[in-house]
Amino acid sequence: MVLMIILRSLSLIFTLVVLPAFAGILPLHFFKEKQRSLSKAIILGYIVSLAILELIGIPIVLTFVYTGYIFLIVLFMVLLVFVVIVGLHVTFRDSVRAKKNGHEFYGAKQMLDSGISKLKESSVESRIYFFIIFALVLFQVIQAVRLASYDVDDAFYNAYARSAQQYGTLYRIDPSTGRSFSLDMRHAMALFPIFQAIVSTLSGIHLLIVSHKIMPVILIPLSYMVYYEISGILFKESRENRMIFMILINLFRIFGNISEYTAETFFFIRTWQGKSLTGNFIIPALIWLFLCLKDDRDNKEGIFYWVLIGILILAGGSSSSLAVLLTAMLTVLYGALFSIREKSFKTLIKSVIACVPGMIYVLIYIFN
Amino acid sequence: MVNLFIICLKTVRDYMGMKLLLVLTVGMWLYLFKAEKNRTFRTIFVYAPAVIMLLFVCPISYKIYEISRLDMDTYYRILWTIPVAMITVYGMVRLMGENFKRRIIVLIVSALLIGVCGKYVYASPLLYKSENAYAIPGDTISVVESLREYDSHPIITALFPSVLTLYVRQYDSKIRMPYGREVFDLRKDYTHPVYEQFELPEVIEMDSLLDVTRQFEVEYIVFYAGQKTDVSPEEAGLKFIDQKGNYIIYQDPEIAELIKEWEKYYPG
Repeated sequence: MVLMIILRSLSLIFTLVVLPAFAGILPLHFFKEKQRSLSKAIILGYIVSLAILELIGIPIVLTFVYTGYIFLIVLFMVLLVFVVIVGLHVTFRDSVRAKKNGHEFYGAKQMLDSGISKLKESSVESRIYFFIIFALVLFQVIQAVRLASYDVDDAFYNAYARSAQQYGTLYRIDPSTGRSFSLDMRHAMALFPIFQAIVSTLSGIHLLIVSHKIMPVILIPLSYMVYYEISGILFKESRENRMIFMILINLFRIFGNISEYTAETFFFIRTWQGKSLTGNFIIPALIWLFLCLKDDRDNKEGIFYWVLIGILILAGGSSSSLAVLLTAMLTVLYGALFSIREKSFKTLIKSVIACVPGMIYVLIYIFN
Repeated sequence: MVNLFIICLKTVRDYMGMKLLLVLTVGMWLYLFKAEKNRTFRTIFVYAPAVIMLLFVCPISYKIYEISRLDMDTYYRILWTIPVAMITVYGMVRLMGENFKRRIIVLIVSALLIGVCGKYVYASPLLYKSENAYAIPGDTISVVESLREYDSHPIITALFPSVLTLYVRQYDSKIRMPYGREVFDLRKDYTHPVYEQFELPEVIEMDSLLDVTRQFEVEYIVFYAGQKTDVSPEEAGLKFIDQKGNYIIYQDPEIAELIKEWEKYYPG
């Protein structure tokens, strides 16, 4: 029994933390050395993982009637491990080159050391703020585990995910009645519930425990990691102000239940649902990428960031079909506004190109 | 067009819940409009939100959304692209400056303002203490497990009181039901013949109920202990299986027999 619990916990840590963090190594490689951090690796890893899920998941959903789920798990894991291997290979190559040239390589150990030394070097005030943030996030995670919520949509998404596990078929069983029906295109392209089913299958833990209890433990800190990265760009000069920003963001969200529609309400009441992922991870991550793009003055073309934005739009499709439209709309809007500011159409054109994966997604949605 | 404009404004009102947090956000947006010099931050936190809000309340956008066959109940989600929390908090922190005393004062005042103007999410009636690790009512699990213990078929069809319908198929999707979550959709005037006979009457007419459940091949009927019936389920021909908490499980022998017949032709 104890061994089983240990194995299941390890499996969860592997699929929800280790694998995404390693999948983030490849995109992290394109960031400047000093900008690299473990939180960036995890954020990027989730973006890449969800995009891969969409990339292979949508054709499988459309073509496989009976055995799509197993095929999806196998292909998803193979591709994810491939991305991890490529990322590790690139990192290893860089470390060898760095040694040859007599430079110190900036790897995981250096990232961790840098984080610890920053905390050690920071003022007492800053450290107090850090512990307040930690306490606030921990409080939200504990509340998420302790509480349950009443939500009608759960009967929809979780039933789809459970059907995938129990029948092996994707989005072809009516979640309400359990009877076979034709492919539900409106929801079939948003594969985040299936991602949770995969985690559940690989860990051997019931889907409902994964979605209601495990996912919030990951998604709440993940969302704050994005805000933390944003704060790093907004408050470069003052670590204290950065920490205060994070404290107030935490409070704003905890007190953000001003209506049932806000992203903050979704964050706590439907943490595990794709809709919450859209409002609390995908859209903030898009803002973060635009801030990175404009902040990186050495990389004026910013091709890598545009590619990442394209990948993020696709990853957004896993949370909901609407997320693709929202992120694409926001991308083009930012592109247009920056173009006006820069008096050049370049940014607008790049923003439109970044939306191509999103456009393909929409076309598949319309023509099926 | 005016009507659509009013609908859009109402959506904004509903979204912001007419709480003072809206005032705080607008105040911070105005402050950033006046004070923010960084062009990137100004674009993302000042210009873009203004354009999104203008587009949102524009009747043409509403019409485009409608023509695109998108669910109009999700129109408000466009507002998620306005980073309300970031605008408000960024404005607050910018007000602080670098002075320690000022920083502490602004931090305390800002935290208080957010607390007073907002609404504490954990006070929401939608959140309650989880009964178990699955975060669904324990009765659902015990009823489903009881059915599973009694019936070894991989797929079984059962009728549950609407309170349980939300959770049964999340826990075990191999249990079929005649209807599901639609009964909770207040926007739709939902009707289903089984629902009409099982949930709507004050006193259930067993003959009428069994007429429709048999059409949908429902083998098990789970009654809530308080549900009234014109004759007892046993008198109507049902077989008592088990009682779990407030839920009583019956089997319809007629459907059970029918399933046995099918098994002759479709074994397994």
